[in-house]
Amino acid sequence: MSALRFINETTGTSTSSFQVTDIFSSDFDIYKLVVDRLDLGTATYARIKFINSAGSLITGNYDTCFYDLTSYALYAQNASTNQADLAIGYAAGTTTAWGGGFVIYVFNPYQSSTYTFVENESSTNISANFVGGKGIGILKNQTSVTGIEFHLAGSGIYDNIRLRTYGLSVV
Amino acid sequence: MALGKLVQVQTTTIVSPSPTVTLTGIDTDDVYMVTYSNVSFATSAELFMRVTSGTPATPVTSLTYNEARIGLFADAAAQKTGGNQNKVGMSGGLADTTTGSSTSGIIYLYNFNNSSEYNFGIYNTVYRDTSLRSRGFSGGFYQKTAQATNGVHFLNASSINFTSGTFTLYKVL
Repeated sequence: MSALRFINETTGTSTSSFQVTDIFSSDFDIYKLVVDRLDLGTATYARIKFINSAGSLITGNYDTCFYDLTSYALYAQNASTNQADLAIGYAAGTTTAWGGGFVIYVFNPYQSSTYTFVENESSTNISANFVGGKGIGILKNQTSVTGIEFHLAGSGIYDNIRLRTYGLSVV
Repeated sequence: MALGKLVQVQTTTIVSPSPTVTLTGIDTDDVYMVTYSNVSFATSAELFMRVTSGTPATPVTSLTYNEARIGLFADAAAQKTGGNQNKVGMSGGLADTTTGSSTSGIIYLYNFNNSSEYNFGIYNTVYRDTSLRSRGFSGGFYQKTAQATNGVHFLNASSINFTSGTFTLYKVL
């Protein structure tokens, strides 16, 4: 059996707030989240918030840094602290041409004694130009996190999005 | 044929203070992956890594690590670092006496078992340091001696004890 354990697959349609709950637990310390089948109206930054064990969105104390790895310009650093959410890079895609996707590692989300750490990578195309992303983020709360919300900068809507969640087992 | 599997080779969780952690068991030509999470020290120290060789596994301490990395800093402009070292830097200063200060990361290891090839690694880390900064590194290294290596060794520069963390070595099939 692989140490990479499949936990959950969830899809969303026509949503500005794609929430997946009860995916983080005491079973694993490290999670791999794979986002694909991205279809949205206008390319913009994807953002996440975590959901605590009471089912509430955590709306503050996020620090982030990620680079836009663009094929058409110098790489841009996006760094900020004490944000209401965590920006993870550009998302794009249409019904007939899905955007690329994201791979996100989440460390120790369920442990209430630790901060929740994130590493993220992304790929997409914007106006026929490749845009990748590479970043980190930290939720500076000692709280138990059990879920995640994906939304978009501004009032963007995911016409389609899919999330597959895996845990890295340690025995 | 690639199977898309991860097979755990060795894991260590810090249950009593220790200044080093060693993971061994690389004995095939497959790619290997190391993960670590919630790693911290008794007082402020930076996390470093070396490769190991021989039996018993001994860290390679020579000035043969060539690395390059970019800093992912939430609080400051990008920082690029590179050059020859005797160990690979994985974090800024960490201490469990600072709330939230720890590091997590993922490292991929290549060619470690092959005695006629250099060994390579790529890593992505995230950490919260004792200066309350949220940061990470994305980089890679190669060790400029063609030799068979069998694991990795985590340490700091001042023999300060680890007080938390789980380190795991996987084979990627």
